[in-house]
Amino acid sequence: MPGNDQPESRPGRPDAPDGSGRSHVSRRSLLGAAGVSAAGLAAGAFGGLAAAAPAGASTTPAARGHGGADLRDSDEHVVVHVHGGRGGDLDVFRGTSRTRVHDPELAARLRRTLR
Amino acid sequence: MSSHREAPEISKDPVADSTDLYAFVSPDQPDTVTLIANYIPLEEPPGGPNFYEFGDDVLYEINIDTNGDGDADISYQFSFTTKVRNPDTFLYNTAPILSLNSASWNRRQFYTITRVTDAGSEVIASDLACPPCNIGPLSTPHYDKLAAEAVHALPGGGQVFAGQRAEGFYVDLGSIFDLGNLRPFEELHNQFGMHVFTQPAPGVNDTNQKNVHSIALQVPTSALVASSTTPVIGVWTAASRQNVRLAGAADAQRLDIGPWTQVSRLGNPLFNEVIVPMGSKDQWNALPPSSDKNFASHVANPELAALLPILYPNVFPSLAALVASGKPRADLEAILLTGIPSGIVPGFTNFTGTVQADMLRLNTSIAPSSSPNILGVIGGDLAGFPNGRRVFDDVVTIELRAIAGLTYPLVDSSFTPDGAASKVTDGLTPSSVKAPFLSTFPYLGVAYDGFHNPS
Repeated sequence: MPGNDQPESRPGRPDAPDGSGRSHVSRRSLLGAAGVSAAGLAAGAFGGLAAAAPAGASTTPAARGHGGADLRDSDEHVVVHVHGGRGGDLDVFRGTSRTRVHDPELAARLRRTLR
Repeated sequence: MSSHREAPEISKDPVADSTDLYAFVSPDQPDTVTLIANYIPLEEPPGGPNFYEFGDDVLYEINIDTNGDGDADISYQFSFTTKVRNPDTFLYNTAPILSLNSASWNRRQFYTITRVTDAGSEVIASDLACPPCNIGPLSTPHYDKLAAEAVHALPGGGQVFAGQRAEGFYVDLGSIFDLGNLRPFEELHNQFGMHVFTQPAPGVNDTNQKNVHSIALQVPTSALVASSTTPVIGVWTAASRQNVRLAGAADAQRLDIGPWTQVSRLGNPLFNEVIVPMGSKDQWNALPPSSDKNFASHVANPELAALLPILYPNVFPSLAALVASGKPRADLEAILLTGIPSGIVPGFTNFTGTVQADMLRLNTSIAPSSSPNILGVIGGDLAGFPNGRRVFDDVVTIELRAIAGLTYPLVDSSFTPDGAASKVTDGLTPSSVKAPFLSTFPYLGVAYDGFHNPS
């Protein structure tokens, strides 16, 4: 079942560290994963996400009051980071938000797409 | 350096790299506080045709803690937008730039300021113009005027400037990073047995004739303190990037997506640079000051304090004994992590509580000094570092002397510092900076132009 484990950050400020202070997603791993995730965004996969998110995904809200050309552009794009291992965690990025989704089946489908 | 290129990851990301932070009661407007956060280290003035600018993809912040918990109670966020008039020329400017709306200036930058508190966020100013970089006598013939035009009044009082300034932090990088070989004392260095230096030499200011990009904010003191009875604030700057970057996403442009995540932080000068070990520097940059208890052991037992007696044999015997005793450096913990409690330095405190957090702590109730001492509190000037930090304070010498044991008697009256602890320095003063500091906002000197600098 889809689920979530991502705490929300403090409104209006950059993404707050969780737990002891570190984001689950390191900058380096995301940079590395971004291309893989974009490649995995087939129409079918996106449909899976759309179904999964309302069932229990949580969203890290955007930093309020910040705008600019990059921000507007990025609203049109979605990037999915499939976490390593077989846990089925995915982060879905859009605009200035991140949504944590737990969906092992979708994660497996995305991985199969890349084979 | 104060915080220039101080950690492995941020050294590869200069537009997000905080270099210096200043916080002081404005000497000419003592009912206000000036906060200055510098970014982009070691700008070479001739660095065209793509001259230096803030990152449109970076969220810059100046944060204020009003209750001593190491978390921000007030944040001033700065976001930048670059506008290109003509994408079909390679030129930054096609004729002299005589005003901020000059048609001949091709690549301009504007910014928005948002004030964030627990009550919400408010855009307090937008579409504010940055000045151009100082290019030379043909391109920017009246640069002083351009820089002055870029000082904007803020609603509710105060003013702001964002753009290029002369680097005001003076430091002998070449000597310090050559195994701590301070030129004024180089004949006393162990020289690893090579016997290269036999005479003292004057310091060299390696940041002279270089520029930085400054975000300078002057606001009424009443807008920064929780109440008149709690005049001490903690200040730090931070820069954040969005989680994901796609290179070449569309039309060869980068695409940044996701929440803002902190990649750079700066409170006290030299904290991440000299105190935090290599393996933790990137992590430190991503954390808030409220996490700094995790780094407190490096303050209590600083690596540099142990190195000085080794590098300078027989010069620091008392420091060597103190290090060998294993006693924690409670003096440094107070200076850097909690502020100095009342009763330690007569007439002074900038204590914010027991939470250990690297913040520049400013007691806003202490009036500016009419005769400043660049050594700040250890020089008897309570309006200087570590009570906040003024643009001309000699923070390298202050911190060298503190680490060498000069401030340990504040917590242990039986300790007698080495004579060298009150003399150690890299040999520089504000006169080592070619561009003079200003007596009015934004206080840092006018940016060096690329035609005459370096010279």
